[in-house]
Amino acid sequence: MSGAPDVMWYPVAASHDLPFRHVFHARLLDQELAVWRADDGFINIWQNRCLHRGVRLSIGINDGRELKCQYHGWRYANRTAGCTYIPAHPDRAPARTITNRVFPCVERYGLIWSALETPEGEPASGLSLDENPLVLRGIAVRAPSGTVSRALQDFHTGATVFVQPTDRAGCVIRGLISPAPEAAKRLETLRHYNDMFSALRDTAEQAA
Amino acid sequence: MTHQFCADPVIADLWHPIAARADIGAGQMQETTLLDEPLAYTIDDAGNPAVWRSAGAQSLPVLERYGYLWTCLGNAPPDIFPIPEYAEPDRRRFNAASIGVHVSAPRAVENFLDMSHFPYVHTGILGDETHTEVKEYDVETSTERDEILATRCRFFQPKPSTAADHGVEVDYIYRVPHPYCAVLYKSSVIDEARHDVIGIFVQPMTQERIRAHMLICVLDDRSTDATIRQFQQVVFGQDKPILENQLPKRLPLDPKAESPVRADKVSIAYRRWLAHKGVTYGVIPVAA
Repeated sequence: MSGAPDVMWYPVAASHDLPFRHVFHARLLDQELAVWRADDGFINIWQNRCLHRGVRLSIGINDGRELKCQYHGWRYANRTAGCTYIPAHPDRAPARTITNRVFPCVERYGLIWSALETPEGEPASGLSLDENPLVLRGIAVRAPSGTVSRALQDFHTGATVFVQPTDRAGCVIRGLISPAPEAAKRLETLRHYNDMFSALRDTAEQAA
Repeated sequence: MTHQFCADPVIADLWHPIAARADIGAGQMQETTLLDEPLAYTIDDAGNPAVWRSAGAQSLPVLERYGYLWTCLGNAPPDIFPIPEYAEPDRRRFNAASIGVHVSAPRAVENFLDMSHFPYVHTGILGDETHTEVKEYDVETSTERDEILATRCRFFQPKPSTAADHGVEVDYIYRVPHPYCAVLYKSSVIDEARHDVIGIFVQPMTQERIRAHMLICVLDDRSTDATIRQFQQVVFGQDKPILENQLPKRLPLDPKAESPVRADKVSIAYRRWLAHKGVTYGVIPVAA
């Protein structure tokens, strides 16, 4: 992989991290993200703070159309991230400038991908779009993404693996198995990779 | 481990609360942190308090006010701000709680001054979602008394206090007489002519960690101390997770850093007052 880190796609969540009306707290390159799927299927990836008083939007309420801040009930619209309602002043329309920072998003192979600046093209995965892989559990590691990526190269895992840099000191290992194993082998496969990546995490954290 | 001691002379030269006197057993030595400095304190058998730096045992000035021990790491002013109501003999007066919060002192004070969160954070107690409007109120920064005063604050509350059995529109007055302390006066449900007084005295342990000491000074001839305490602890317990999820933890003083609305008039005045005083501890100063 090459290019500036800010304009590259990285996985920041798995599709299964976004159950009905949930708000997922993600992190990419030191930026906290609030990730939520509206009822129309659109996935929003926003800076994780309300513009009013800085409370994390990942503790807010996803009502299917808007995200509501827990502190003062400010609401932000699906897709535009514009503030639609300020309850302290119910008769006044919020200023248009009150719009949250949004980050690019694509959903591919059971993962949610984002970037700090919009990259050109698709996430580079080596998979074709019609594949429907098994998504492994994300393994958070307290070691830099570069260290973990190098360690993964020496592992012949049999999985397609991505490393999500959360900040300078940490990352998340996200793996895909394609084709997905048959149902009877699913649990065994998940256990196998959980053990493998947990061991890699322990080694990387001791070295870090 | 190296400590970054407080380099803010405005804050160092103030009295700060470190403990409720009632929480200190006679002859017991206890430890706490103030402005990154480890301190120890005690009350001797004769009832006299003492406070000293843990490192080097250098003794520090001590003041007892409103049921708390206060100390100062810099040049101690003669006294702290007055609360005349504290002397009224028919009031219930005690520390409701001293609660640790992972936030800066000014964020906690600002939350205490804020009415518009009542319907969302204190639902069914201090507000409800059918009454969210913050009506116009007045804010004055007095240079003579060196404090902020917010008056004519009104808000509908379903359960304004332990003494209340129904919802009412409550009148509030807020005072900020110290960068890390605020006092609120809310209309008493027992005596129309008087106010319940509640104080928040924030102990800045570090720039991003505090203990909030909550003074109760109210009119209530029905409730037990435990009931009054529990009411305040429930309310503060609702604020704590909000405060701990504010980013950044230090209060930004640049007016453009966050998005205030008219209801935030007192918060705007508070940030301006801190900037004017030159406070740097627990805040993000305005870029030069």
